[in-house]
Amino acid sequence: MNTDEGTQVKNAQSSKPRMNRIPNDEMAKVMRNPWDPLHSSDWDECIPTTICLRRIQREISSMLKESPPGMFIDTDPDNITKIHALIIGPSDTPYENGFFYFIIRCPPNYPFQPPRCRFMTTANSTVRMNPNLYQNGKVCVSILGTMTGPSWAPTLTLESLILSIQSLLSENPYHNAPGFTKERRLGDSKAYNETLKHETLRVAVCEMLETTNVVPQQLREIMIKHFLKFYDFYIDECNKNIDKDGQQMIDPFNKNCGLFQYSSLLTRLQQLKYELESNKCCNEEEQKSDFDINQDISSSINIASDRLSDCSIIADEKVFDNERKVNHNQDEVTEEHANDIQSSEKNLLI
Amino acid sequence: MATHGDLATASTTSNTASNNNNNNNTFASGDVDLDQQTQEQQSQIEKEIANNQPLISVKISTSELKNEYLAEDKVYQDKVSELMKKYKYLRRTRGDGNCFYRAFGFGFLEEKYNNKNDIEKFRQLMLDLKNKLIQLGYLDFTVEDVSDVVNELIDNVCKGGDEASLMESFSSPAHSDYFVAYLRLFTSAYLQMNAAFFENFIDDGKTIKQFCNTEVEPMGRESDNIHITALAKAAAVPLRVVYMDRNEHCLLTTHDFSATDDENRSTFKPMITMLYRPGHYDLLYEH
Repeated sequence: MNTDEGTQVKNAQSSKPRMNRIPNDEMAKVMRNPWDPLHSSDWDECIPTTICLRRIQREISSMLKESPPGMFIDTDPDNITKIHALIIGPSDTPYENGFFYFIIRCPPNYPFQPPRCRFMTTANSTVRMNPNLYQNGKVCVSILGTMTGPSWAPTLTLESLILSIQSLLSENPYHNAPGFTKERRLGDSKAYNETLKHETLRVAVCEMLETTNVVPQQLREIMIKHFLKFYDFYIDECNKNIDKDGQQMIDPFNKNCGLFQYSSLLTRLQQLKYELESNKCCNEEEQKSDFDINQDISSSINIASDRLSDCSIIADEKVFDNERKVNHNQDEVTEEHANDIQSSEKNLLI
Repeated sequence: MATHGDLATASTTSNTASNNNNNNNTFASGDVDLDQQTQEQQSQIEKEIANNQPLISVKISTSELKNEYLAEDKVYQDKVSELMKKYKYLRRTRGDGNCFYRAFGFGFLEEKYNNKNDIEKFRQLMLDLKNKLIQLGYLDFTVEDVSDVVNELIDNVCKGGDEASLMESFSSPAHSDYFVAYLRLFTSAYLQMNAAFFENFIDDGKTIKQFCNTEVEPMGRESDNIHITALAKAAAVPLRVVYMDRNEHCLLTTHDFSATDDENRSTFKPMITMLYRPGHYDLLYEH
């Protein structure tokens, strides 16, 4: 054993560690997307320690109890290390009232390694909603280790991560991009904002609500309530900008964006309202009649807390087997995505 | 706007690393891969080290160091001979960037686990630290989380009352890493509270807070004299570091880090002694 150690030190000194293990297919996937919570088979192999689970539970409960405005989380019924997060676009930004959905996964040795995070509101990997939120779902935030800057530390939390992401959804996101502190062409930032405003309505409002099962039910309910409350805002935005219809959208970070189509958004929004309200009417007869958004959110939080404690009870048991299966299925689904991503990245380079 | 502004402030106070414009990052599509490759290689190396080196080893004879260097490597062979005169044993730590803190934590408890008074003093220090960190803007439950696990580790070690239980606690990554995280926080808090003094030793224009966020608190960041000076004072532990490097003009250099400002150099008696070889710290034991 001792001589063994001796050679290792020598190796470390020559800074050429041996790499003799050939990664299997799964590992290759993880390696290709080391930021991706949906390609985390490397993490599925290790069972999180009880200390790790306790910490995640503490964080989740604290966020469910009281989270900063505009952000919501939900637990995953099968896997306590997987967290669903929803950020509502802050006011006075091009993202205003949009729904931005993220999947976060904590490592089995959390909080010593950062979580992995994937941005899900990308219209099937076709839209880059922010210089730091790529089409393929990669989230560029220094504490995730996906860009340079201050790195993760055990004192940071899921909340710090979500806050950091929320701060990307800013007034003039053009300037988030390194090297874009000054506009490359006069008016670029404003033009980009116009594009983002349109894409927020199209992707982060219409598409997020038109498809069910995109986000967990608790989060969907929050989205629906917010949508109905701010319906007039969405309609106003469309009417204000409808004269842009047919013009090319400008996005310095994605050459392949389409045309402004506010009139079609208007129709979609109206249709959505109609559908959601008729659904809601059916549901509401069973529930209370007056609807107060805060109250409803807090009730959904209670449900989530219940689920959290369920999770913790079974966390140490066989859940991990199921988890593995679930993740495996996800891998298959996202495999297709990965291919799309690669081709879209190629387009970008061209 | 109000909401967003508030959140931005909240994010700084809760020690969030935000995404500033001035970072060169992976933005240009061409360098995405480079960044990713670096990360891949890094994690590969980390995995290799984790598989092959224990977090902390049993005591081994310092003479074993001779095998690590080629027989004709006279500079190092002479230095090892010199080291053997005074130090009988060596305890290796894993080369994961946390070695200084891990060696410190282990060395401290190894010295103190049978001394109820000093252990109580240390727990009191932890409590004080928790309050200071909360004052400095850290989230109370993350600080609590860390100190809870460290207290648990100390309980286990004291209950076991022998070297084996100490080894066991420090070999479990969950507990051991929490101790490291705790000592990093301890160092960070001391640096921040004595910012006016330590700022003089930071040369790249960073504030103490930035330095702590990038160089002290993240796991795996290596330690320099500034970290050692701060931790020795914060934990009131006199510490000696024996340097062994390629310098041909002297055999071994020794640096003493005092526990208090007015310590007498001539009567200095270290509680922990470490061997430093470029980039790595191990524990040393005298004859």
